[in-house]
Amino acid sequence: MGSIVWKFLRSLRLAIVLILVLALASIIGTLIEQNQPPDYYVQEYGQRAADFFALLGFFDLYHAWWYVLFLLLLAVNLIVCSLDRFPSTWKLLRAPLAPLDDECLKTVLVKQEIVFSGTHDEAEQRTRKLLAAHGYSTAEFKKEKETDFAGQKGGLSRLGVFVTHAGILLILCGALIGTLFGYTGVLPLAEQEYSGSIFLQREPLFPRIMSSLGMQKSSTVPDAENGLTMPLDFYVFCNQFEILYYQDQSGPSRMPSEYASQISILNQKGEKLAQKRITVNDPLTYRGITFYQSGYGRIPHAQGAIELAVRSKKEPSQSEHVVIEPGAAVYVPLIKRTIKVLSTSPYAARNTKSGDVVFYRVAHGEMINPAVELALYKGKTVQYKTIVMKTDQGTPFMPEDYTIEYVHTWGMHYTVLQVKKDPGIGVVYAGFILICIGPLLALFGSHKKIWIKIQNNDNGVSVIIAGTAHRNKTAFETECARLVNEFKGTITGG
Amino acid sequence: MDGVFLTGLSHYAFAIATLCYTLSFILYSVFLFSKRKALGTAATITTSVGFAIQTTAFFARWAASHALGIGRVPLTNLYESLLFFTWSIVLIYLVVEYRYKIRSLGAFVLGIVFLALGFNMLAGIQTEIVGLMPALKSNWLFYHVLLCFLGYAAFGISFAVSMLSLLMDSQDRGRLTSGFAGLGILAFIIFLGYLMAGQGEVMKKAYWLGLGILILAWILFLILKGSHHRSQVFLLWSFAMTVAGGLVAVMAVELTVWFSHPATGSFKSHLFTTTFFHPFLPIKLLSWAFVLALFWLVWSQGIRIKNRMLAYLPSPDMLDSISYQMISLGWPLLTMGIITGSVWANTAWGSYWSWDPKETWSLITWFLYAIYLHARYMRGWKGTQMAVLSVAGFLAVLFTYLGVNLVLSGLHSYGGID
Repeated sequence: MGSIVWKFLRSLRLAIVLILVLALASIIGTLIEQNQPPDYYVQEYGQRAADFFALLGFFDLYHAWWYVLFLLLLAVNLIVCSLDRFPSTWKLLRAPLAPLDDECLKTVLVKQEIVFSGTHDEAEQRTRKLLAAHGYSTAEFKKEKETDFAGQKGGLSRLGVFVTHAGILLILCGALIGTLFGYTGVLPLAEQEYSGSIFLQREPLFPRIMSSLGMQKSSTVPDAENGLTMPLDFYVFCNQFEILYYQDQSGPSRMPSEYASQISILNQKGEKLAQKRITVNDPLTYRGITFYQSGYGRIPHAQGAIELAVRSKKEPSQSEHVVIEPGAAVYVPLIKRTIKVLSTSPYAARNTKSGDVVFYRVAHGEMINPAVELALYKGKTVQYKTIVMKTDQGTPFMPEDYTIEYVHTWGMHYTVLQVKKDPGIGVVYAGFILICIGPLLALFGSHKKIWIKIQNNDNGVSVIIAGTAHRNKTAFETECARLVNEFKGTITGG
Repeated sequence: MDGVFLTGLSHYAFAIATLCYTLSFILYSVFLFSKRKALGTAATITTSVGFAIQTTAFFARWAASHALGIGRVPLTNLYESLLFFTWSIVLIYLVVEYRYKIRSLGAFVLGIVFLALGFNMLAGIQTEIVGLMPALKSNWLFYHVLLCFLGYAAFGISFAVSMLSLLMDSQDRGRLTSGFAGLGILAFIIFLGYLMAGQGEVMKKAYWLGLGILILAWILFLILKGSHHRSQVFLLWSFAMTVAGGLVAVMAVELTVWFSHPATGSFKSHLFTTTFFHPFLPIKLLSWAFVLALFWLVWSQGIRIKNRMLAYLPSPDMLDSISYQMISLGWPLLTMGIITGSVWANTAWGSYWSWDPKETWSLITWFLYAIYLHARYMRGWKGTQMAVLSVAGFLAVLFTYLGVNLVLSGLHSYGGID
């Protein structure tokens, strides 16, 4: 009975059937939009079909119990079949090299006999050289009138299939660890805001099981609006969020080139533990928790406050930063002037020839190239007005001995961070490495064995070269032909 | 150098390379029937020249993006990926042709290249060099796309080889009735498509779904029992060649029209309205008649063509071996392509696998070729079954590459062409 189950579980037929079922099921998952709200499905397929599909788990197919079951079965199949085959492969690899016998001679792929004109010793010398040059690890067997060489290489390629399978299993293990102990959350943060907790969609599986069994207190707190909140043991602070845009000939285009948040990790006392400017492909990891730049939003009705840098023309190192809200005015001691922000615009560009500033419409208030119109006061009288902007193709009007630069508009946006903890990621990456190496070993390599038998007979010395390979046989035949030629070549060459 | 100049240079070079490949396609096709050795040599030369020009164009485009201050690998949208796909497939093909000394594959491989490039010209997709969206700005992009497309190209060659070995496998085409049956089925499918397309989106979807299931079931049947149903294998070959031939014909006509006055609107939407659904009845009828006639021609002449070619076609064993070698090259490449994509997704979004349709379809493709390798190595399958499986695998590749973007939605939306 046990052996029938074992045979069933190790069979390739089962593997193929499982893979086919998984493939076909996956197709369904790509045809039906996954994880949509229930209303969407009712509208799309009608009530009855939607109910039926929901019963089959089609709306979260890749996590449906039966899909996971098939995946697990595949894993079991992989384990059983590897366990079943590994010992014999290992034995084959560990088996000591033996001289060519008659039994072996019948099954070899290549066999050639050469009449050697030199002495027995010379033949031995050349054989050693040749096999070493071709990278074979060799063994020598001396008898009275005969010397046998046996060599092999590429034995590792027989392990390629196990490496690949181990890779798949590691990935599945890592995924399981991730599901049990990892979580994905979001953390929206306005500029200059900090938070000591994140929002989770669902609690990690393991604590969920433990708390439902009453063995552990849940680490999350239900939140009416956002699902669950989970406290962190540190604070996350968003210093700044900005969007950069691609430049073309006429200035900034509407195409974003980078979303970036300046993030700091703070402890209870407000001390900085880590900080980084994170962008979409460059997250921050702190104590196994990774913060990804995942989105942003505009704070409703926010006016923002504009930061400007005032710099002396004579001594550029002398500068002062001021933050001014639209409509407000601030006195700058460095230049003894009062700067008033008259108006702001989210997208402006300067015509390099005429110096005129053009203001563009934006659909959703994107701050593509913000510009501010300033009035400079000496006491109560306006000296001049000018426009500065984030990226200026020309030069703004600056008649006095200082310049004013646009730095940033504060308080307009909030950033959305994706927060992820995945303790299984190391295991998954180990699996990734194996699954990349395995097929290369298995499909490009080949376990090659070569035998060279040097015999003294009545006419002199005869040499038999025989070889076999477990894969890529045609390539091996060519290699052997070359080997034989080289052997002959060394003979004629002396 | 000037970015505008380099962009222009790359566009012209791509156009010239396209012409070279078109010429090669014609030469290889004529070579298949005529046995003239000179034609084969000429085809190889035009292909190599086209390849050299395309390589130049690729680097010119890369340089152009740097000169324009964008600085990115030209592998980031449908236009560039189709060009790179054709480049990889020609590269691998030339290596195969050189190594195995066979030219009879050329017609099939260059046929794929012609279709891809024709589609690229007609689809009205964006050809400008624009900056990447922030999510795509990663060093992983290059390795991910490179590995995937080299893999796809190897699978493409295996597909071409398998089409040839399916033809070789067809000893007889069955009785005349099976030809008529095939013709009848084809006519019925077209007619049903016409009826259901007029009944709204749901019916249209149901039609494609039903057709898909039917084809899948048939292919599965042929994989399992193909060696006993040679006439059906031949029927499959005929259907596939009809689709391919029909596409080539449409592409040729559309390209001629396009050259006289560049297309307005999306190719995707007017492909069928200028043929099967043309408002003008005679054109509509003509298109249908053309497809049916093409099928009949392929079906009735296929064996004859094969018999003419038989003398200088590689042996079925050799074809089988090339197909296997291509898949054992492509599968590790695809594996690494998927893995690099996965690592990239993890650094960008914090999830290495999110079951996005493109990911899922690449997994399905990976599964199919895994089955291929296991069936061959462990069960010793050969010949027809393997060839059908390879064809099925490449259909999955095509769907992963184009189908997902055209039909489904997801993260890899760079491929959309509306």
